[in-house]
Amino acid sequence: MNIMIIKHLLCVIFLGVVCAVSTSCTAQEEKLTIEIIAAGTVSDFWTTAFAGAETAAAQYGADIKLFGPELEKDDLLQEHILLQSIARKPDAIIFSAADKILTTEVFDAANSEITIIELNSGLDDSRLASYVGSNNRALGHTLAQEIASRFSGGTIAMINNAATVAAAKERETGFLESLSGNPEFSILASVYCDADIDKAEKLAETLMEDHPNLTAIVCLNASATIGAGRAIEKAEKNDIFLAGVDCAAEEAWFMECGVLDVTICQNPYAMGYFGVEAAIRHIRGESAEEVIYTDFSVVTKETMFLKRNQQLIFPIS
Amino acid sequence: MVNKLLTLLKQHFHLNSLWFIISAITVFMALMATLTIALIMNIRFSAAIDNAAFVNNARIVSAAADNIDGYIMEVFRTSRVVAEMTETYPAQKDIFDNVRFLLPEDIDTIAVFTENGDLELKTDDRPLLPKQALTSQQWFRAVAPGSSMFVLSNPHIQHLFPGEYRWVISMSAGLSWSSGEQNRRGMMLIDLNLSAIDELFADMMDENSYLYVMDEDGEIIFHPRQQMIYAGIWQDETISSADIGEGSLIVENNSERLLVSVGPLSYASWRVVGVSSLKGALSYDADMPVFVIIIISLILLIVVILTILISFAVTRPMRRLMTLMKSVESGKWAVSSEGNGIYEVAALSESFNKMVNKIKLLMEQVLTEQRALRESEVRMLHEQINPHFLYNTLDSMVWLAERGDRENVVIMIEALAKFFRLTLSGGKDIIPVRDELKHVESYLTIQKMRFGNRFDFKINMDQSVADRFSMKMLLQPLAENAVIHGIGNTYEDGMIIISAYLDADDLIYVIQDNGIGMAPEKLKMIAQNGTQNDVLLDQGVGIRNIRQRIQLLYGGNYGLFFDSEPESGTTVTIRIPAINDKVARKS
Repeated sequence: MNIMIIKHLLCVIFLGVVCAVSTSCTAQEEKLTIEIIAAGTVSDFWTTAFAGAETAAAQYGADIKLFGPELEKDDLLQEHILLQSIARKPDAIIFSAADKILTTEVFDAANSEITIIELNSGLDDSRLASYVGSNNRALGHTLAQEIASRFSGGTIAMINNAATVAAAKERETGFLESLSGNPEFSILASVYCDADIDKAEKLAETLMEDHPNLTAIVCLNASATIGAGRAIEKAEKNDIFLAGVDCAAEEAWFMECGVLDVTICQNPYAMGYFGVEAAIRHIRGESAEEVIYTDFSVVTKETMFLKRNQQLIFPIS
Repeated sequence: MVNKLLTLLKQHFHLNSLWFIISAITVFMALMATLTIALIMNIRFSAAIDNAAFVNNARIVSAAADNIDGYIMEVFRTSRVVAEMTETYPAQKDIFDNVRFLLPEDIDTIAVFTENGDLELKTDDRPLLPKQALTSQQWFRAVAPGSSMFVLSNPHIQHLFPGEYRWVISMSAGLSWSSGEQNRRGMMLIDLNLSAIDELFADMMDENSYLYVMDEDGEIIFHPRQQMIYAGIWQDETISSADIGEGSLIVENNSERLLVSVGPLSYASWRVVGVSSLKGALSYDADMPVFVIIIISLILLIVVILTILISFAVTRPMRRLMTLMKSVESGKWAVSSEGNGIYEVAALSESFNKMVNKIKLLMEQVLTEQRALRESEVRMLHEQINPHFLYNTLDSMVWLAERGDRENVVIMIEALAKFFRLTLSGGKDIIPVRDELKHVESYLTIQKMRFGNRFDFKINMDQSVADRFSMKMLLQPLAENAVIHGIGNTYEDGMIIISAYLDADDLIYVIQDNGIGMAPEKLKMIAQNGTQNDVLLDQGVGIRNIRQRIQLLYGGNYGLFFDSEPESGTTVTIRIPAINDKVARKS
């Protein structure tokens, strides 16, 4: 009888070993899929953000895919890309709205199955898991302070991205909050370039023609800054103070030439990195902050080649 | 099968049962042994892995240092080649203007400047920034013009061409050449693409280790996470620890143990740092702890099952014996244990069987003896209430009454009444010695009167026996023998002396007469059994009955002893235990 029992038990033990070994071999975690839908893909800003995102994805073992229109002005294309991405049902979408995107429809389509992280565009929607990017209002404040510290008064023109982009609106509000209290400054109504460099250039030309005694042009995003820089360089009006945002290669050159006088450099690498990190934390159910602000810093011609700024302005390719 | 086993286990489960104790101890020892082995192996393997990591890390660092040194040397040789060209073809300097150099990818630019900052030679035709913008830069001021030194810069943004901003490491080398009759001094700039250094040790890193290069001030030259560090997202905490010159050390960082090895370069004041995480044997492979736990659990499972089976099997004969004993306890005597396998249990079984058999025999014996005793007593009572004795006594009383001997009639009636009262003794078997003697006294009183005072009797009771107890009706049959067979046939003055005294713990009755006595053969026969003899039937029955009762009650050491010679009387000695008051009352 005992021998029979032992035989039975040996069979059971053998099966147990087989099961244990096979489960431990097949128990490989499936990789998280994260898609980044950027506003643009070719600018220095976005390549750097992608580099940060890829670093985080590699570190956390997630699969990451990058989508977006080449240029930020292609907002219709971005919407199309976004809808396609939602249809693929990735674990998370990191999204930076280019322009008049119909965000409500998009979020409805995602229907809470997909974690949505917003990157630097400042949408206001409760279905967003986290916002990662600059504090755009503070960025506007800082720009205003740069103007106020250099001029006691004058006419200020403002070229913004688009009236419908929340981030652009925030920067504008921040700037106006700081400066409109000062009666010495007359601030012209904002004009919008819709992330189009050529349009920004034309807008700047028009502004300079219409207001020959213009003190400063404040540009609230990179394409506006580049466009205005081109216009000022062409018109050889270096005496107009140009304040901008970001420091793409062309902007850096304008700065060296004295066209661009001050710029606020954001930290796109950190945005990409923390965006992916926040997405992964949300998917895993760990705690993640709702708002993650990345740093920005003021760069002028004198400080642009300081070590710290070099590291921030120029991405390592 | 398993269910059956479980039921069996449950049925026999007691914390102090042998099989459970054996199982528990064995399982405990197996667990201890397994854990100890696992622990020792872990420590041992971890140490071995640490050791291997030390050697490996140092080797990788030195290989990387050699690579970088080699690379720097190569770049330096390139600079010498260009220097020679400058020296050899000063007149045809303009040919460089028309030649496009084909440079390796890692070299961005080679340019020669005079000590004033004028461009002498450049490997491409991209327009340079104005002279003032160049001479203020660090690379230009790093070496003395005309010296044979070279200096490597930290990574920086190349700032030579309008609108172009690349990360480079600059080698500045002193240079002198002759132009016509003039000796010219200047310096050469070689800009190396930062990403090129990456490739120098890309294949030396794995997921557990990485290499980086830093300068003597702890500034990062190259780091696989350079961009993260530049973006301010991450800091390498080993940088401060790597300030040890050459060698290795272990850095405890949060929960991680990091091995940091530092190796110097020969041609630059840089240091190569290799960082490996020391995780120990268990965490080296993510599946390892799970694997170890599975193995240990399986071993324990097997040990538990086998021990339970074995201990259960080993203790089975004992459990069977236990069951048998229980059934004996409940009165089933018809059992016997079959000895099997295990020696101790077999011996135990055998003893048990013997014991059971013995008890069975003893119980049967006790039953038989009790029955015999009862029969003897009943027979004795029948003897006592002998109608002949009563008839004769009454007859004597009638005769005395007719004679008008009133006094003797009263004595006789009194004696008879006492006799019968003591015979019955309220149904007790054990009576005081005093009563037993009174009983025989009553009997002898009656007989003496019947026999017309042909004999006399005397009763000596030692005071020590007065309060002792004795079996009843021992003396009367012997006294009857003495009267009828000893004295009844003689006409001389007969004498019967009855004594009672203690000999150690034994009670001794002696009945002595001076009658006709017995021939030796007869004495021998009576002494042996006092039975089966027709001639002696009368007295034989009495003696046999007494002997039987004594034997049944007290065993073989007690009994009747006869001493007799013809014509000089007979002495009968009874030896029985002297019973205490308490014992008597209990029975």
